[in-house]
Amino acid sequence: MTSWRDHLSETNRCLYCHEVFSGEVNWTWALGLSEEKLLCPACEGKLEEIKETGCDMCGRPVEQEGHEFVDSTVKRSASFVSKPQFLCRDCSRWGEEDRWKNHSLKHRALYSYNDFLQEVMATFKYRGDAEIATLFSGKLKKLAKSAGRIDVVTVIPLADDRLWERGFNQAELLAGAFRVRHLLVRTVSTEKQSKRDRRGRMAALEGAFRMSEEGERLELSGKRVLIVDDIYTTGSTLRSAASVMYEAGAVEVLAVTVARATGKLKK
Amino acid sequence: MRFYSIPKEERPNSKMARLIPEPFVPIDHPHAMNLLVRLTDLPHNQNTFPQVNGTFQETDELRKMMTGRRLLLDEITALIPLQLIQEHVNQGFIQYESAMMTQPKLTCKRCGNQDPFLFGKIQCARCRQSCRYCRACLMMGRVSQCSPLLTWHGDRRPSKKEHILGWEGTLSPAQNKAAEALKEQVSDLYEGHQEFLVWAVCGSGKTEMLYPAIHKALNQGDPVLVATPRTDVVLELLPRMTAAFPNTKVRAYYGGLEPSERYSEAELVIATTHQLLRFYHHFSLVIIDEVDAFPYTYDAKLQYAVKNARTRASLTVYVTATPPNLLIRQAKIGKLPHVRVPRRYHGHDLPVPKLTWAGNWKKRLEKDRLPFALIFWFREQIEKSNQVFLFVPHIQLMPKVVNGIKASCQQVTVEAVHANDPDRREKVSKFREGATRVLVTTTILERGVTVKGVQVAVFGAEDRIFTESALVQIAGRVGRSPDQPDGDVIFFHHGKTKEMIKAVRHIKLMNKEGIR
Repeated sequence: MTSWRDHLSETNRCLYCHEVFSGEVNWTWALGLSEEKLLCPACEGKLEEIKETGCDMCGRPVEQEGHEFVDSTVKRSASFVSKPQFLCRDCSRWGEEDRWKNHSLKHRALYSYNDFLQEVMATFKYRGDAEIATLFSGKLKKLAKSAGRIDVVTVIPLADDRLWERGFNQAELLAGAFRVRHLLVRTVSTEKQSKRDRRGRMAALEGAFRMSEEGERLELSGKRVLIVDDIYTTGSTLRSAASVMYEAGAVEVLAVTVARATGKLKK
Repeated sequence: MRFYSIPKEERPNSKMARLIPEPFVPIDHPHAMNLLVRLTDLPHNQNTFPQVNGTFQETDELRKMMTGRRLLLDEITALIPLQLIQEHVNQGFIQYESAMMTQPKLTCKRCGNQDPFLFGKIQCARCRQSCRYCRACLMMGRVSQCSPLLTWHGDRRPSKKEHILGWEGTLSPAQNKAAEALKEQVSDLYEGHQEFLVWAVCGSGKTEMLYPAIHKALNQGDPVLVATPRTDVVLELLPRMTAAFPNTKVRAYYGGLEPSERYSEAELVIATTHQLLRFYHHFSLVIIDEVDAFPYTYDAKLQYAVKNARTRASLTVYVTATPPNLLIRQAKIGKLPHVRVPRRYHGHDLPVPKLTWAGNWKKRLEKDRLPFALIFWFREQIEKSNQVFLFVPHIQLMPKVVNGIKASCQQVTVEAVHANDPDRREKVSKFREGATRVLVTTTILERGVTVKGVQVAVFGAEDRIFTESALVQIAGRVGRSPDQPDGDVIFFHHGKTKEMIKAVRHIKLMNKEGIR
């Protein structure tokens, strides 16, 4: 029941729901300064952008209940900080472990992992709609800018059988805006991380990665490395990968992901 | 996935399959790695497959899963190892074909999608090159340029069993006439593709009219497909069909089934549009219920799905109360054989809608108030303790309308439902039980919902969403039970539209024809 007028004025189509929508026409658009809108306002509205982080280390969003470690009067940004002050309970626990005493893994995510983003990521990863990566790849690059100098960008690799099953590595597509080096390989095929609890995840990932041939050739000492992945849940995947880099001499490892799990999902 | 296409000189006899999937190509083969190709890149006439080997005992599981279907390799390998599938290929039972056409236009062979926006491109880990994929039918497993579709070429094994029609009701004279006309159309040998239209008013008992025709087709050994627009309708039809055909394998296919159920064997299939895409050249009787209500009406997508699911020589039956204009025109010029059922099964007239001017309701609604005409009508209904369906044009209006009802008629129970409402089913069943007095709804409840003694009002009937067919369907909610064959249908409007007048004319015409 749409008339021809609707089709005339609505030129964009939502990358997720495929509906047509009209982009906002204003001066930034006319001057070509605004970004091209890929999502319709309805879908865009369901994404929860992380505007303030509660934890300086893992980039947990501030709204989360049960983690009253933040002074609510202080305005906090979403970008990386050089000297982490506020740590959430999980990150302090990581810090007590021997190998994390002198190293850190700062992480920032674009969005909170809410029900809608869970659907989007499922369409992207499991249904295999690789185009969805274009929604995030540019934004991830922007997010990484606040991290300062980055020497090497890498991604979390998939096991061969999983790569065959999916046809692509989702993290590699998300890192499409960077120049990616494949530094890591999986040592064993692990079960899907999304099926485990925190302790299971940590145990499963003990030594899950090693340096790839490309990684061996590359001199990592003194380098700052950025890892790109899709979802940060407990951080064990990223920390497991980061510890391999630290062993190879990296001076700092940082990470960016699309979604930060907040433990508020419907099961 | 890539295949090794065996060159002629390497095949001892022409009966051998030409295609070997990449995982089975020996690594030490001299030039296999250079000859690996995707099916889309292979000229079509080169895909020769061996004749079916009659002495080979095929796997039951595979036969049940694949008979009448065309499936993605990934769908099958999720349940059955590739080794076993390839064995059946070598014996001629299964054939591979490409899932996409690149010439003359990029087309998904499963869903018929040709829209450039709905194709994506990846650097594929399977075929190790740039690979297009279809985004339109992604929810059924990804079709990409390198993924093969598999078809079954073994024996069809038409069941020679006697199907029982277990339905014991009687058809009204009008129903009977239509049922006989439809049954007449069913034959064991069609001349090409035939079509038939059953134009039956709301509440005429359409499902029962289909039984004799379905029964006849089943007894000829032909599988039957009933395609309906929504999962709700599939779930409603399943128990009725199962009861009507007690010794027939009746299966319902809709989104969200477990794989073990998704590929089960069936003689009578009830399915939503998307699920049709898994069937291939299988049904010689296809019944499309509510043809105008499909999410995209009777457009290219459904046509493509039906065309693939039916056999070349077959009968397609459209059943609806409000046929789309194209079908009406074809029926009128005699191109489309049809039968009309202008009378409800209980023999009473269809309630004729009344048009009532409601003034500038948008302005009143801003203050959370309803037009007076609607309030008066509401109070009258509540005094008579009637249940009321109130149709509104948009979701956004719903909260204001609910507030307005609460403000003007106290102690009345109101609920609102819309398409994406997670509690939709509970709310509707609560209304059915009579726990809710007023149900405010968008057009999602325009069809298929039967509530005894309900009265209907359309609020803002001049909106574009209320087309002739939507309004006729909405009016059809009233007076469906023989005890209460009448009731109010009121279109509250701020200016009559052509669609409203056409809907009234449509209903009056049906009533007039029904007397004859």
